Amino acid sequence: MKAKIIVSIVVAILLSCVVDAKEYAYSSDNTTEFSVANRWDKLIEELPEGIAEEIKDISAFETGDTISTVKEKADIRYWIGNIWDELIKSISSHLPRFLPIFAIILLLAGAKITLPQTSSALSASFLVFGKLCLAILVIRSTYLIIDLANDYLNSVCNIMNLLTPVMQAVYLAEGSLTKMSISTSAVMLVVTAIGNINSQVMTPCVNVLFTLSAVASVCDEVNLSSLTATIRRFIMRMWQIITIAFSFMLGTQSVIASSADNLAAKTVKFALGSIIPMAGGVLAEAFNTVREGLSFIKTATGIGGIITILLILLPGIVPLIIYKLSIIVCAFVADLLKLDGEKIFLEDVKGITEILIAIVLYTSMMFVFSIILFTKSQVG
Amino acid sequence: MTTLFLLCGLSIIAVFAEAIIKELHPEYAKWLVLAFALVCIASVIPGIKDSVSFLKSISSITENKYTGMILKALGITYLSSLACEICNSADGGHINTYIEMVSRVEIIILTIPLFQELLEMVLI
Repeated sequence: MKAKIIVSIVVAILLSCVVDAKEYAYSSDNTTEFSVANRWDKLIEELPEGIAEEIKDISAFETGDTISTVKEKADIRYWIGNIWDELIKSISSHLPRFLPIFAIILLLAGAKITLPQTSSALSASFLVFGKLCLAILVIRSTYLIIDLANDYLNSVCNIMNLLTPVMQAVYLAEGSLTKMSISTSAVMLVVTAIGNINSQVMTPCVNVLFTLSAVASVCDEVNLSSLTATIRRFIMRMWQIITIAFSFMLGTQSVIASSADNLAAKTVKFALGSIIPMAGGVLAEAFNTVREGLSFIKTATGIGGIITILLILLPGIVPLIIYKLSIIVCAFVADLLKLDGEKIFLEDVKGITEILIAIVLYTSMMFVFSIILFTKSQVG
Repeated sequence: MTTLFLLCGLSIIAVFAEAIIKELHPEYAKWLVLAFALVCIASVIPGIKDSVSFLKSISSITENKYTGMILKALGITYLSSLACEICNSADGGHINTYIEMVSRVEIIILTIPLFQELLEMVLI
């Protein structure tokens, strides 16, 4: 069993550094080796830091050493430990961001109670000032999270980009020109579309949402919550449509998904639908596809393949979830301390974080789909 | 706690003293109130110093300038409110209105860089 895992991990790693079939078939000089090494280095560069550290000692040309290196890492406990470390690292690095927000909420609540009621205009000026400080702090930390999500999306798109020529090469070697053109163009389209939508649509929309939320939080008389909710709904609907289109385009819905829908699957689908309010619907629908695809990857590469995918996806998703939880706690405290304006603003920020989580989950789903397609091209 | 008991006792004495002085020398009554207000402020200052140093330490732990700015604005608000109250007690006429206006202008001056920062973050 262990040997199977070792071999499958090695095969998975080596397959990922396979380059153009033409070079393998017709060229035997050093340039081919140089090209493969380049691709390997590029792939290692694109991987998240932790994973790159894990596999940097593995060379594409020294299979004997590779097996001995991988043997040490074949133990499942080693990888579970890695996942746990990654989770702890994410939590400890992102939780302190929530402290200043919490401190300002407490300060504002204390000031609101103790400020003299005789000079109400003065108290009102101070409270507006406090709201502004809170808004800037929250927006600043949310932009940091957005940057983190953008980096993650770029990294995932780059990995998908690197898989495409390999997949193309394998299909070409098989002589399946139609499969090659459909699969690779679909993956490339997904990658391009995700990049363009993020830069051209998402960032301006999030900016607009922030502006409206900040204005509404500072001016109590202005109620913009319905407008912000409409914009949020619009963004989510757009993403749902795009994701469904891409899911069909990648061809995984019909190819991979089976009709099996047992109790465990239904529970997870329900959880996805209810925990992630906006993204959950589509994710729940795609759950069967992802589950079947992951079991396919498990068969092809062993549990190591799934754990590697998890290690790639976790650093992007965990900080967003932690941030959302922090905002929920702050909104709850603001509600307890009767800071209504602040609570509404934090609820709006929670909505923006939900959008980010949805985008990251959709992209992760696309990433899993492309990995499934890639694995199918190698195995099939 | 001891300071609070002391202040309560002083306030009762001040009320009786004000009533007596009003009968004998009404022009000195407001000076007595003013003196009592100053004693109150002086007794609270050491406590405020401790609280401010604690809040400053929180601000340095959280590493953000906004906590400090809020404390500054809070200080302005409390100080001007206190001044307004003293002016009211001493029959200061419209002086309290001017104090309030000046402190609001101070807060607006503090707010302008924040608005600028917000606009830079969101719009640019």
